[in-house]
Amino acid sequence: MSPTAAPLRRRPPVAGVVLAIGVAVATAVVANGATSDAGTVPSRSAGPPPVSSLVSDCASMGTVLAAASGATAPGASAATVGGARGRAATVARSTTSDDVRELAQNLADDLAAYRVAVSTATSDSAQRRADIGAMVRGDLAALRRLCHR
Amino acid sequence: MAPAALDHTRTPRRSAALAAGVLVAGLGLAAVPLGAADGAVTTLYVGGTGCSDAGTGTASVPYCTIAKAAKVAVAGQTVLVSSGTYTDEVFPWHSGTSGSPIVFQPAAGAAVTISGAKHGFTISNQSWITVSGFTIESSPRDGIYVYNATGVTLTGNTVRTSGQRVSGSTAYGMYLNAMTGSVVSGNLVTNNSASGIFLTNGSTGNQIVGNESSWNAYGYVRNAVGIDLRAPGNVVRGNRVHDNEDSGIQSYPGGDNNTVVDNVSYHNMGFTTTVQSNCSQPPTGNTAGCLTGDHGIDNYGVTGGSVVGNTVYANVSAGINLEGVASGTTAGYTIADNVAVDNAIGCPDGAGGTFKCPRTRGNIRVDATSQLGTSVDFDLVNLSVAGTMMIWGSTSYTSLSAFRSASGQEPRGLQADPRFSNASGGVFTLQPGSPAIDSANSGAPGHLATDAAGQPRADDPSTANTGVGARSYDDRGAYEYQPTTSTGSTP
Repeated sequence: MSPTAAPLRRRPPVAGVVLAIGVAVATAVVANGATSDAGTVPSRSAGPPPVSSLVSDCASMGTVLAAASGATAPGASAATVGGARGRAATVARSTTSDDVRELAQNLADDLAAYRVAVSTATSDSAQRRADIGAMVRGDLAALRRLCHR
Repeated sequence: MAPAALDHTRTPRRSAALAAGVLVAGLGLAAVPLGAADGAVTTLYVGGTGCSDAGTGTASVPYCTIAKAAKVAVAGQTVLVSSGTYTDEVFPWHSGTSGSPIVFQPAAGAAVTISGAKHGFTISNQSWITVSGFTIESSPRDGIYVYNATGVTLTGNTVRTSGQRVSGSTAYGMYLNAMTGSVVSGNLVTNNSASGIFLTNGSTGNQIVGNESSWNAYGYVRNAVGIDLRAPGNVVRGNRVHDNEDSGIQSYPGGDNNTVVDNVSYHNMGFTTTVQSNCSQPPTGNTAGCLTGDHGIDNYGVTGGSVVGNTVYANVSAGINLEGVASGTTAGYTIADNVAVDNAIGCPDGAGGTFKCPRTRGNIRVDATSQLGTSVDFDLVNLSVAGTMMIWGSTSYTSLSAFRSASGQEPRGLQADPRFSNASGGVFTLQPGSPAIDSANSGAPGHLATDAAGQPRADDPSTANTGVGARSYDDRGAYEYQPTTSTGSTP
């Protein structure tokens, strides 16, 4: 029960409507991401994400890291690389942490390029694969650093 | 939520009246983005004597931090920042509107640096934000980070020294994630520890115009690009990209249908004594060091783009490169009106000499996977020493004529000295008599009525018009020759 509910029971209807408008104003302000010096709670889309999102996203990072590590192992297939890319992209889409999103998106991007290098047989694909593989390892290092893994 | 808690305390009629009141008031307010009310201040001030973040950001009592102003600024307000070095990450809490953006800029004559903040600016889930005229340096993460935003304008900023050149600690100058309908113009993005300007995750409909992106490098792996496109449907125009550790401009998987026009990409070529994980070492000179740099404009695993009217000079590997398209897929690229000269020749050996560049060669290269649906014409190419001029499929050609005969491409291509004003000094305007003058296809996709410097197309009266399209006097390359006496820029 809201602590304001009991006093409201004794108020006349006009007061209720006035209060309702007040609630609507507050709702609209919060929906716009507004805040004030008095410390109004920001909406979900405003301000830094809660630390808990980083913690929870990092908790599920193990499978992403393992998949990406496997994708750059010698002999990995394009399908394996594509699967790892999909996992990274899923994390990038779902996270509310800017930090996790950025690093997971980097990993997804580089795995997408790595998949091209694995699946395209040209005279220079080995060079390209080495270049991008080094990038993927850098992405993994950044994710491990962020998540203390 | 409070209304639900109230419901069971009321009669149905009262509840209906209350709900209607909430609905009407809520709809009326929520439909309008939060903005500065009539008569409200349009300017918030930051920095200077007597500042206080507990105040209201007036000229007499300004905020102390830009972050505080970013927290309260709403549509239509401009945040003016006094000179100084600030250390706070600026994280706008509200959106502007298309007609009333929220603007962040230094006060008139002020020099403002944001140093050491995780990101100088983070624009996340807020739109219609303008950031203009700041210096952002030494951010542990990307200098400017944008996520899920539209109508963002980033203009006239300097973004440098983001991140560290250590695996896991690198950072981009500008990281633009799911950003749409935005403008990035006139920025200097330099010396960051990853690519300078990076677009990803569906960022589309953006204009990347007139920026300089240079000297970006990871340091331990050759991979920092001047402008890195992993997202489709953007226009990259009139930028200068040079001396980056990898390519000048690249479109990588995800970066289909980008238009790269009137850019200058040069000297993405260097030498480092730091061993890199993917380096090419010279056979002479400092054989322990590594060659850096790559293509002028690289298109890898992407389709449907245009590379038109660029000047591409002295990069380590193939100047304009297309490769890595999936088997059986139509690449569908248009390469036209470019001037590509002296690419993949004369790489530094670390001891003051040069050696034969070790990777892909040619001023223009279209690999075997990228030929389907690709058109190459109206380009001007040249090499100052003998070498590979062009590559089509798996075959290299030392002259344009041989390339033309074998491929059927470049029927109106030219092989000649473009007569740059001062190529070694980075000045790629054309001297009188350049064969690039009045010879372009003005109808090529993305070709513009102005050049990289914003100059109009001009008809040189001393040069016969050999171009095609609506204007037969447009020039190839990024810069339009401006004759002393012009006959006008319109037909």
